[in-house]
Amino acid sequence: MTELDLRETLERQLGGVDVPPGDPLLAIARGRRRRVRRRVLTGTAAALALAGVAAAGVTLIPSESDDPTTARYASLGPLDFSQGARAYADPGHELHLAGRTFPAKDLDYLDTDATATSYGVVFFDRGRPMLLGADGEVRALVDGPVEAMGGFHPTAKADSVNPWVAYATRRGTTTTLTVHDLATGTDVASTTVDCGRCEDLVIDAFDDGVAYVRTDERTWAWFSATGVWQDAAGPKSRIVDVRNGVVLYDGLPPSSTIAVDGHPLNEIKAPVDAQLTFDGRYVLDWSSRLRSTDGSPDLVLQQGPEKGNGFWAIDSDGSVLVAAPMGGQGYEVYDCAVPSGACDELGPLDPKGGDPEFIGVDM
Amino acid sequence: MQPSEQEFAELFSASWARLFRLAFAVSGDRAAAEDDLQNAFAKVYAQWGRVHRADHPEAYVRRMVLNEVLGGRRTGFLKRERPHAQVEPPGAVASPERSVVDRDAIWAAVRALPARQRAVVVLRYYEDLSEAEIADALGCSRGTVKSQASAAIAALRRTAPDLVREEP
Repeated sequence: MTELDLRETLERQLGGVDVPPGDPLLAIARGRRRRVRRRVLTGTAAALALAGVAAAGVTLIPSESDDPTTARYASLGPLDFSQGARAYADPGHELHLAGRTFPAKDLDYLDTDATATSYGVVFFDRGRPMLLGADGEVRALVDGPVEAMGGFHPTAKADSVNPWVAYATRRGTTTTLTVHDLATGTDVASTTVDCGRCEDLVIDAFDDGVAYVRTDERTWAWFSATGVWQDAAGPKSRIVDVRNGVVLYDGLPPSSTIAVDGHPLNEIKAPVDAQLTFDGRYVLDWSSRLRSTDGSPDLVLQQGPEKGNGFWAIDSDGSVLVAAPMGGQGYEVYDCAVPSGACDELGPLDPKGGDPEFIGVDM
Repeated sequence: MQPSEQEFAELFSASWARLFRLAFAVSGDRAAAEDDLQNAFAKVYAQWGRVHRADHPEAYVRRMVLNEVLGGRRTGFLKRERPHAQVEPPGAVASPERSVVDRDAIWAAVRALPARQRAVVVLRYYEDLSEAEIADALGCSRGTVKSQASAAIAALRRTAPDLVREEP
């Protein structure tokens, strides 16, 4: 038998396989869910950098991060985050932020991998956490050299209790997890993380000063107040969100009971892209009907479908942003209060660049 | 349907059958192959901009499919029924045509290979990819492809001793 026979064998065996019909609409529906979770790079420079990473594997991106210049960021003028960031976009075309509208190219550094907070939007510039603040200016949250390494995207998460944000940075072979106070501009706590190249490091959740950090092996809870690490979940579990004593998880239940201030978290199973309201009482899962976590009635928002092609996200102030389809005429965006469910109309959005995106409120 | 969805649907329709056969060949399990392929296409849609900009979108999608299939092997492989070379393949009957029997035995031997070796064999002899293309598809070095291919051929040769390795 020759290799030609091997080719013929494979052709004959595989050519005779009965191929099931694929379902592109199912793939699109699932893909939409994934899309809001992944990093969407709309800027040309960022896209080129990503292409370079894809081509070179984990090659370091040449970093200019020794000099955390903010010169490339034009001042936007004052931004009112008091009603939440209210950040949503027609990808590549226009971006709405704090009640104002900008051409997408002017804010191409903001994407769904950013984190909206009450003090502005935290995003990463070549591995360095930055803050677009209420004064419309961008400033670096970390000084000194940091590295932007392909595959290192731990993201940042905001605390709903404190004015804090948790992020990770890479410097040399050291990965540092930091809790930063956005109100005072100071670091609250930091620790190093032993995770090798840390390409699988992700901060899955952060609430009440406790960061839930996932590596390729497990998920750990880091209590920033005490510096204590606690095993939280095994590799077949995923911490989806944590708010006010409630933990959402996907997969197997967390391997050990997590307790904050002596109170075990209430474990609720939910899809990996679900979110909790800040009070921990409701699960937002692609519907304007938010599932109760405590046995009380579900919360039904005044706007948006209970099933169908809408888009939802928890805003930085704990309200729910809804992009409700308008019968083929794009979307109407609403900001809905919790727990009343009352909604304010923010305006229409007729995307030309794909599905609506909520910037900085990644589900 | 938005323009990007239309383009996605066209790619999906054009490539589904071939990629299913590839996924099935590597996974050895129809249901797992279908699930993996649907999941891979969901990721393709989620990253449509990146896929669309790729020099070779089809190769990019194939790599995502292989990632999905081989990623699932860690658990799926143990569950699936693994044909054994000494087990009579379904439908195989005594035949005066030795080549037919040989092909069934070779197919069983291919399916019994470790997943990555099987992937290398299928990409080389079914997809007709070069070593460099296989390395790209599997996200490994050309040296790894060479060593996996050598190990696979050696295993197959135990079933068909006269199998001759041709240099790519």
